[in-house]
Formats: sequence, C-alpha cells, structure tokens
Amino acid sequence: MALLEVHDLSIELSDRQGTYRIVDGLSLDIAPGESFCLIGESGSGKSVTALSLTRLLPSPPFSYAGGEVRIDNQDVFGLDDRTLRRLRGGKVSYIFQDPVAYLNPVHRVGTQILEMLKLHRPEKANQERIVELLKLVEIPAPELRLKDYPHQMSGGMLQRVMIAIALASEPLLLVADEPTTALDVTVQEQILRLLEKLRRQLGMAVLLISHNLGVVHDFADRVAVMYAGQVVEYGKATEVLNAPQHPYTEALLEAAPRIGSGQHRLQAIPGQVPPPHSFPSGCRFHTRCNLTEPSCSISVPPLHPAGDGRMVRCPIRVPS
Amino acid sequence: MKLLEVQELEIRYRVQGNGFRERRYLQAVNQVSFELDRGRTIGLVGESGCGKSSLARSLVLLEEPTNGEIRYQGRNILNMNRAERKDYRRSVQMIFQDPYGSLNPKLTVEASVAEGIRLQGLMTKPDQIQKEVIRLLEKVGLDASATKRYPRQFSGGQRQRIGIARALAVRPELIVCDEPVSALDVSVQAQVINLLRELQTDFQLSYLFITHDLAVVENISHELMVMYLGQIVEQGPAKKIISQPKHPYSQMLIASIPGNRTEADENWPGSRGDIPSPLNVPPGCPFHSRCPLAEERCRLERPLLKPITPRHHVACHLVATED
Repeated sequence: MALLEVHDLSIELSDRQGTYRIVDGLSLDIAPGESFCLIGESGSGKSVTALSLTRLLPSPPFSYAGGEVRIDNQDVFGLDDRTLRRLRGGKVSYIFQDPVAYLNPVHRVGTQILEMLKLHRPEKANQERIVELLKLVEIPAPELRLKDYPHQMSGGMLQRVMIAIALASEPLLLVADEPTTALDVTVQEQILRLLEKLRRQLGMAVLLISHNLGVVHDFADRVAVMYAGQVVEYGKATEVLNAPQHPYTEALLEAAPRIGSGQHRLQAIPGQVPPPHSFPSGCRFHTRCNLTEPSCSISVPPLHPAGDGRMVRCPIRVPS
Repeated sequence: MKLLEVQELEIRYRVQGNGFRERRYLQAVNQVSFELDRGRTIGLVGESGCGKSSLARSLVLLEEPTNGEIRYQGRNILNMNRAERKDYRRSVQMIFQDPYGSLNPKLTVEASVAEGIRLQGLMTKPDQIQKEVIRLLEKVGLDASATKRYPRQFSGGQRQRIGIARALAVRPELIVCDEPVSALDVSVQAQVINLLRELQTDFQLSYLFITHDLAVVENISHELMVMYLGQIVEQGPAKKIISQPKHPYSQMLIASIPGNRTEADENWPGSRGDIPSPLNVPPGCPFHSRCPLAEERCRLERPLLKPITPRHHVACHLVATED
C-alpha cells in the first residue's frame, strides 16, 4: 500500500488581480522506501506541491481547491491541529535548498538537533543520539562538531546537519526540495550519495524535487514531470528520461547540454515558462510545442495511460 | 598578436586575523597565466572560493592584481593612461550571473542599454542612439516594445538578454561572462548559450566564460582552465580535458556531474571532503587533502603547471608527460 497518496489535488493562489490555479489536478503515490522525483522549471508548482502535503502553505494567499492527500492512511485535510503538528517533522520531514536560512545562527547545531528530538522522540533526547545522527550523515568528529555554530560550517556540512535534524524524528517520508542546488558539484554528489544511502539503510521514502535532469537520472525510481502546474508525464525514471513521450519532457532533455557531446547548437525551447496569470488555454505547453495542432489550444488534454504505469498528457503522442 | 595575455597573475586580499592587529592574507589567484585569441572562448571552471570571480574582476579593472601582468593587444592594462584606459573599458565588457541584481531597477531598458553608448561618446544624437538601442535589442532577441519598460517586467532569461545588449552596446572585443546562465531555467539557458554563440560568430567576439557547469563549458569553449583554490590545475583544449581529464581534481569534477554516472562508475569511491577555506590553503599541492592518489611528496611540494603535450598543461606530481 502506498505511503503517500495524492489524488486530484488543486491549489489556488489569490492576489489583488485574481485567483490562479497554480497546481491543477495533481495525483501521485509513493510507496514506502521509494525514491520519487518531481521535475520542473521555476513556477511549475513543484515546491508548492511539496509544502501542501502537510498543509504548510499559508492560507491566504493559498487555498486548497480540491483533492485529497493521504499519508500513512491518514487524510491530511481532516486532521486536527495537534495531529497535524505531529505529522509535520514527524512522519514527514523536509530539507530545503538553502540550509543557512533554516538554521538558527545563534544556537549550536547540537542544540538544534536536540530540539527536534525533544519534540518528536523525547525518549531519545540525549547527547548519544545527537552524535549517532551526526555520524549517520557522515560528519567527521561529531562529538566536536555538535558544539559548532552554523557559521563555522561549510555549505555541504550544513546540509548534512539539516538532514540529521530531518532524520531525528525517524520519518517515513523525507521531502527534499532542491537540496543540492546551492552546493558545488563535488559536494552535491556527496549529498546525493548520502541521501541514497540513508534511504536504503533506513527504509524511508524520499520525494526529491529538482530541476536538474542529471540529479533525477541518478536518484529516482519514478518521476513526475510538471509544467505550469500540471503533471505532463509520469512513470518510471529510466523510461521517462530515456524515451520521453510528452513533447515538453523531450524538449527539456534536448535543451540541457550534456557532457561529452561536444560543441553544437542546443535545441532551445522557444519562449518562456508562462506565469500563473497567463497560463495558455488548452494544453499549457501548446504555445511552445513543435507538434501543436489547432485542437491543442481548445481543451486541456487529460493524462492518458501509456502502459506500465506511464501517464502522458498529450493527445497527439498518446491518443485516447 | 594575441588579444589578451595574462602572465603570472596574483591577487591577494588582506583580511582581518584572529589576534589584535594580526594581518592575514587570502591568496585568491595564484600564478595564473593564459592567452586568448580573437573570436575564441576560454572556459574557466572551478567550485566556490577558487578565485574565478576575482580573476574575472581583475580583467575588467574592478580589482587590482597584486602581481603579474595583463596585456591587451600587447599593452599592459595596469599602466595605461586615462584615454587608453577608457578605451580598454569599452573593449572589455562583463555579463553577470544574476540578471536581477545587475540592472538598475529605476532605469528603463532603453536608458540602461544607452548608458554605455553615451558615456563612451560613441553617438550623441538622441534619435540615432534610440535606433541603435532598438537594433541591439533585436539582435539579442527582444523587440522594440521593450525600450520603455523596466527590468522588473521581464523574466530572468529576458533580463539576461538585456544584460548582453548592454555589453554589446559599446562594441566590445572581449566579454567576460561570469556564470551567465547559472540562474536560468534549462529551457531558457539553451536560448542564451545559443545567442552567445551567434554573437561570437557575428562580431568575432572573444569570451572568458566562467561557470561551474562542465556541460555548459564544453558546449561553448575552445580552451579550458580548471581552477582549484586560486591555482590552475589543468589547462588545455576543452574537448581533450573533458574526454580525458588528467588532473585528479578534473577527474573528480567530471565524475561528479549528475547523470554522468555509468554502470562502470558504480565502484567509484566518490568525491570526498570539503573544499578547504581559501584562508587555509593546504601546503604542497592544494588538492592533496581530497586527492585519492596523494603521496608524501604532494603534502610537501607544490606541483607546477607543466606541459604533458605542447598545449595541455597539468599541475600534478603524478601525471607524466605524454609523447
């Protein structure tokens, strides 16, 4: 049975000009211990989706316009505040892009890990457990480093501390929102390896959010590709990345320069990612698509099954 | 004659030490030499703190080198007179990483792009300048309607195009590109890289292209320098370094690129360690603390950049000359 089930989730954002549907009819499921990736460019709705899983979006300006989120068989929208607080950081932990922004600069990192233990695992709120967690995330000399303040650590080390804090509650699902985007390449590689090791060792599921197709290729079992608030393609990572069916996935893979491919003109996608107030009618990608037909601008194509758990939102490529 | 020759460039900053009146120095750039021809691109890759931005800033006179020479068309840029210096500032332009921070939010696009033309005195008649601005904007893929709008009304990719138009306005010969596509989405990144390639052909531009992304650098560069803690560790033809990296650090960088891992690499030990602080550069080879091959000699003696083929240089004790 799935650990996380999202069914037909829609999220709206309101401002003075109006209300925009920034996530539209999103469905996905993640099995225990699985690694799942949400791929998308800025403004595709991937981070908003991640935060909505534990109702972390402030309302207003955001509002839930429909759908259901179930975590470990609990309906997240039906939970009272107390249970919801135990879910956040408990069964579901988060790490983000910029660890500096999420750590308190005036407290030692050990204290910040202890805080999480006190909240979610009070029986283990002691120094031994802090050292154990720092060892788990491969911080050398953990007995000494737990006394460090955040400014004494490098970016890679801080991201490890963030992971240690996230793991303190022994979560079932770790949501990692662009965890390596701010890091150098060699450090990024270390953090991704660490996440992969922890996932196997602890058996927790990981939802990784990234715009980097290489990261996704190395990490994910299954992926969902998002464009302008909608999932356009969904399926096993190897299949989606090696044989993309949706024109957007295909164009995105073509546009990224690849190592070892030498000098050539890149296949850029024309135009820009549309902002929420001007999502095109019909298929949201039709204005930038090279396959477009007149019908594409009229009705929003549904996600259509393409075999083996694959779903594709393109009536030209996968006719119903 | 080479367009640009940099010889044994060093940049050192004085920083506050721990003790009272203690002085410490941060060696940001250490003995860097390279040459660049007209119409060519030299890539510079390295991780944060390796000195790549200091090097870039020194070329556009935003930073004064501590030692070494920068020669532009044979003339040392550090002892030019006022007029020569002004012309040098025209011929070498820079494009920055952050398209949000590098444009004045209170100037219209037209005013931003025209600023250089006016200051350099290239044109004086307002209608002539306006025509030129429109021509430049069209050249970078924007249209004339952009002129009266403000930077905030544009997306990241469009702002980067405005930044490029601004650099082109004064008819430069060399453009220093400091991470010009790192902040952009993949689909837009490709548009900007293609644009830079077109402009290079159209205007015979030379680029110093700084990035941490090896796939981008491979696509655009002829030559390549790999920098680590202020020093060049490998330098040569881009294609060759990327297909057969010789320095252990270049090898680690290339193996770390996500998506580049193959089945055969599954046993690769992985990158290790953090980049040391540039304030505490390890003695000997700067990379020895993270190098899987480090020997005793590497801890004691700094390897010099030496040729392994006439155009390919590596700074490593353990790499032998090729025949």
